[in-house]
Amino acid sequence: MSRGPLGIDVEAAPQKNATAPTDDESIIWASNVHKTYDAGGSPVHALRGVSLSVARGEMVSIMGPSGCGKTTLLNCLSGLETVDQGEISIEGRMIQGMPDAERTDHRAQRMGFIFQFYNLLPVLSAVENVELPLLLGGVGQGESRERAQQALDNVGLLDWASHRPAQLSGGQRQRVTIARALVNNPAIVWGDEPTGDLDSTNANQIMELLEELNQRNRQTFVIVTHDEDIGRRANRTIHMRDGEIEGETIHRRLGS
Amino acid sequence: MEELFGLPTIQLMWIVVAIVGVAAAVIGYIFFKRPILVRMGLRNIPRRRAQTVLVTMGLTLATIIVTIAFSTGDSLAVSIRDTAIDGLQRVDHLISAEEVAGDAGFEQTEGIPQQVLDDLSAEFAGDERVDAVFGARFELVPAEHPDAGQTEPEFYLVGLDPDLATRIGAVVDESGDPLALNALAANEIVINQRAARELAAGPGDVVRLYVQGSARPFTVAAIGNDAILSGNVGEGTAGGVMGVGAFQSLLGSELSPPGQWSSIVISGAGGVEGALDVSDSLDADISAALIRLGQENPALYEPNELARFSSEPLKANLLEDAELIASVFTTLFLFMGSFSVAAGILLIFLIFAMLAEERKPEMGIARAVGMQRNDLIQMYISEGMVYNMGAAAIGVVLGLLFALGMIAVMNEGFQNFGFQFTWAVTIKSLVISAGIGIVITFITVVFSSFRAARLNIVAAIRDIPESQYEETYALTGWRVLRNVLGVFTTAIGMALLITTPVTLILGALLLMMDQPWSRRLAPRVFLLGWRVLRWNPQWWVLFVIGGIYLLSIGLQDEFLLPYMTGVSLIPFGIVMGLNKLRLGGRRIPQRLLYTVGTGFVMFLWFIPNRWHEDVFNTTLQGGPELFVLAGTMLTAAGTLLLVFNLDIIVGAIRAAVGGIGRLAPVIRTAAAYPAAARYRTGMTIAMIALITFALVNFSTINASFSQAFAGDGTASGFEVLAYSTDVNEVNDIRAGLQQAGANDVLADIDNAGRLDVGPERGTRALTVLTEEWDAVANALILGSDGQPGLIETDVATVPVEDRGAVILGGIDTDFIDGQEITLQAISHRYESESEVWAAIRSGEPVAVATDDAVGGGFAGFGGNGLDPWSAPESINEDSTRLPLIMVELGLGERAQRVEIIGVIDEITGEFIDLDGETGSLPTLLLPIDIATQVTGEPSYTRHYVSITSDADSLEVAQGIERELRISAVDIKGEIERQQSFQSSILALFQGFIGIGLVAGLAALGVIALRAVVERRQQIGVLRAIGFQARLVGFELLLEMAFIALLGLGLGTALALGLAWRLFAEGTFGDISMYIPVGTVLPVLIGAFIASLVLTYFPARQAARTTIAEALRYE
Repeated sequence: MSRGPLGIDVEAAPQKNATAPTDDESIIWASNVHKTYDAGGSPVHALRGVSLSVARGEMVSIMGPSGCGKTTLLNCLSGLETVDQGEISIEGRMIQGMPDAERTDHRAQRMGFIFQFYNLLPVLSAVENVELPLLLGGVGQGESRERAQQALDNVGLLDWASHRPAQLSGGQRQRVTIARALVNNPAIVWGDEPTGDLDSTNANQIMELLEELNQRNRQTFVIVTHDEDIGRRANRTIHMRDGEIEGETIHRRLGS
Repeated sequence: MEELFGLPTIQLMWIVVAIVGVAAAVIGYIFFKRPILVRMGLRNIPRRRAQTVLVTMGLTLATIIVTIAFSTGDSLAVSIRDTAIDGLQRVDHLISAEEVAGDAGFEQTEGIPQQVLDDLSAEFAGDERVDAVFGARFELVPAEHPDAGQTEPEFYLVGLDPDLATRIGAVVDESGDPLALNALAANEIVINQRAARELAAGPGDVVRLYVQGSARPFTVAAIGNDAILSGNVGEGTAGGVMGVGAFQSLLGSELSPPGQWSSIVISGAGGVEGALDVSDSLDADISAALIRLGQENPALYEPNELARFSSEPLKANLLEDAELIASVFTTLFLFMGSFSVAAGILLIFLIFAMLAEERKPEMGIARAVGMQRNDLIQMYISEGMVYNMGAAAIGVVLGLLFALGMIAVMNEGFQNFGFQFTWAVTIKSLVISAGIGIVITFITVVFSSFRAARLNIVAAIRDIPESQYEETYALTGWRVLRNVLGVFTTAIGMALLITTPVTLILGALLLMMDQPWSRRLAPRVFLLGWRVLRWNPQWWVLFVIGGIYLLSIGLQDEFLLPYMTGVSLIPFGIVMGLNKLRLGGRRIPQRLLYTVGTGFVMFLWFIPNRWHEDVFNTTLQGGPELFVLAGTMLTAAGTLLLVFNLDIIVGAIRAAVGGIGRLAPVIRTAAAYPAAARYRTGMTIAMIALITFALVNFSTINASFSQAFAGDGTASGFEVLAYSTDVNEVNDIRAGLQQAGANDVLADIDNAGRLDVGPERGTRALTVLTEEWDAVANALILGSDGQPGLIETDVATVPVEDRGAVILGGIDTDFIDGQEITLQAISHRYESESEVWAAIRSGEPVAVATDDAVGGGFAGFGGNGLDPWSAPESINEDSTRLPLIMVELGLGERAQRVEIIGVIDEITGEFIDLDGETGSLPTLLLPIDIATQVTGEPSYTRHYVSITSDADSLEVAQGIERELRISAVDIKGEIERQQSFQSSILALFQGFIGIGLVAGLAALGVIALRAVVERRQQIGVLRAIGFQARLVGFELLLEMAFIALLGLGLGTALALGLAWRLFAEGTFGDISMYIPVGTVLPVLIGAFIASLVLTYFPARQAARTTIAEALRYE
């Protein structure tokens, strides 16, 4: 282990052009991922040959300064965005080149998302927001409602099920988002600054909840954050700078 | 067009120009005082081009509608004027003989003696206003072109003094060149264009004219244009002209007594349009001359003989009619278009609300750094004015194009009537159209700007709903007092504003005192009213006070328009006021308030008018203006009712279709978004519903009339109607055909009834008087004084001129056997309709009458004002049993008392209506012998023919015309032509009203576009959690379809509801309601499909949203 430029303990970056994972433990695998945006005529290289792998049940945080490509990496890994070059495998399925409809179905069935600004549908109640992924997955209305209420109960919001997002506090809204992300029992939960819009108390509560769910359900969490306290609560932190992985810090081994 | 709403259009133009000037001055003021605001406003225009296009589109509507109305009016004015001038040529004034009372009490038409013509010619010989005075003879004769095998039973033959006619160019050819009548040989004729077409005849062809069965050949010398002096006496009739000598020789002295003229024509100096300016003075001089000649020449004229000749400035009158028709049509189009204008105004409000929402954060920041609310308003007005000007220019062009299309449709409809419209527009109309468009949209933009600029700074900057900052009142004692005071002070303020002269005089007095305190006080007096008003300016208060005021005006004037406006505004105002109150810290549930309030308004509109009248013990009258008011109020109430109960509707939809597999989340969100955005959803629903209301209501009423009067069974059991006159008399159609050897035509005829029509305006009937009810048990006879007893003296005391005129139709047994007339009421002495007809068949002195003969206090009989419906009280207009009604027809030896034993149903009796185009005279059908006894020889005879089941009515009509040379009408074909005409006109109005649907559809486009922008992040989330791209687009499409369906459904329901009420309470007489599903449904489906098409593009845009970008969007 060596010390990185920001004084953070880093391990050596994973080798570029890593081969596709062969063991079942590696749920996310990426190799030499490139992504370039067109910003008003001039190209912005958001990702420059990123390679990584995440084990099943691991909680990984991605950190780095603004504009380093954290969110882009999360979007590319989760299939929200296509990549220009490189390979990404989720649960053994290569997602680059996968048609949009298939990627969307894959997301609906195997992934959950938590965003900084909650991104709940304001016109639906909390429970309706939570049951949306289930309905999309073809689950019947009765079962969807039951499971959505269970998910809300898990995040301590069953009593607020019929409230609209505008009637909830920031922390409550984020809990609803978490319930929505977990309601279909996804293999991977992606979080983009999940505590970014919360005060420290609420942020702490949310992270405790995520840790508990991670440990209880053995779901994989990939969280983008610029808050070091939050980052440290993951098993491992991947550090990014200028579109590249600068190194990683292991806070605690998986299963420890 | 010279006048509209009784206002000279030139004056209207200057008023509009002045208002536009004021608007321009406002912008100019803003520009010079605060140029930065104008610049800021203008810079918004290119920011979102699609939105700019939509804003302009919305603003364009008003201009389009007004332009169409004015251009159509101009086109009608020009077309009718041109037709009138072409059809009259040198005929400026026409002197005709009025009908006189004969010894039998009937009027007789006599010709004008040569002496009168000579005297008038001498009178105006030196008058520089007059070019010529000459006589004209008119007669209807059948014509035939044997070589072409064509006949024309209705051929109007004109006889003129050939030298005079030639000198002034009274008859012109198709290209307007005068024809020399004095060059015609005795066997030559000039036929008009219509006759040339009908007879397939041209110059050199020989046509035959038939008089009393014998034919005379005439060679066509030339084709004249379709003018009155060449036989076109109206609606493009076929005819011809010849010298009066040849005319006289053809008709013979019995039909055309020598020295008698049908009319005297006076041609003004200066050509076809030269004498229009002096028409009034000339007409007065002609009338005066007629009176004076009679007085000065007692040896020549009987006393008052010349008084029966009347002069009519025919050309000036027709041109006046042209103006009037144009004005009526323009008003009608403006009236119909008001729905579209209203929809356009709502669209502008919606667009500005959207603009305000989009710019809310920046406006909040602007306000935070010191920009006043007025500055924001000025900014919006500046921006709006640019859209406005662009929209006016585009609107005028589009309006003219629409008008062009409408004229084409009208020509299609009128082609069977031989009339063609020419598209036209005047500069004056263009200025008014553009000006009115600018004024309407400017006012709307100003109001919209006030609303858009009203924002809470914190809510705006944080971009959170304004509702969190919405003002409510706790119901404290002070609040109650303040609101009550508000009501009174507002009323005082309004009164002060209304009574400006009082404050003006007071202020002037104070100024005259010239004291420092008076100078300070004077302007304050002027402002007092406004300040009082501003103290507590609440719309709901104004609604309530204004409503009460209008209600009282309505009751006072017995006028439904202000009354219904008032009773509708009051509940709206109360609901708005209660919505602001808090009881025990809680607001009254909005759903409850608005459901009860709007439901009550709708109830007020759907109950019969007499319920309103009963409550206030008064009578209330209204006209078609209520159509617009009903549409506006019902749509407002219906829309509010819907939007405040949308969640229930949404719940019902979800319960019904929410479980459809993977569509469940799509349906859920598609229904949830409109429910969450009440304002925009409501505005869009209102726009679509308003136009749908107008369209469905108008179409239903129109179609019900068409169905009633042109539907099956209206031919009273007959398929062909033929006419014969004494010039070519046919007493019995079947006998005539047999005689002519036309067995093929005869074989197609099942029955042919005869109806002799008495002198059309010559029949006078006398009201008698009697009322007998419960006849057997209690023979009660009432007189004019209400006392029992037959008042014989009434017969003698009612002067001849006060008696009513009726038309007598003598019917034979064949007519009675063939007719299928429905009687809406029969005498209490008969058990069935067949008994009534049997009584007439037996020749008893009985008659059946049209309903106008017996309704309304014997309107058709003049006299003593007895009303058979009013006494006794148990009989009313709904009764199907008649009391004893006797009438006395004629005078002297011919007088005959007849009992009316049946009333002809208004609808099935349509083709029996004998008053033609002469007015609305009541008609009696009675045994032919009695009619002959009363009227003497009939004016003409109608032959009602029913045909065998496999015969063709057109062929039978043509066969009768060909074989008997009398005019015959294919009633079936006529009905089809009428229906086709009505369909064209209906389509025209539907199209015109439907223009407003553009506003509703554009509104859907606007909110769909806005949804894509403001929901971008939510779309990103939906896509992230598993919504397929196509589902995102489909969701938006479904959402807009839901709104469109709500609007279309609401408008249809309200329109049918109101129509049902109007038909049920007998507003349109006995006509039954008929819903033209085949006409209306395609329009509604078309509108729905158009809404989907318009939403498709934003939906596609939504579907293509890049997830990662959408999630980054704030």
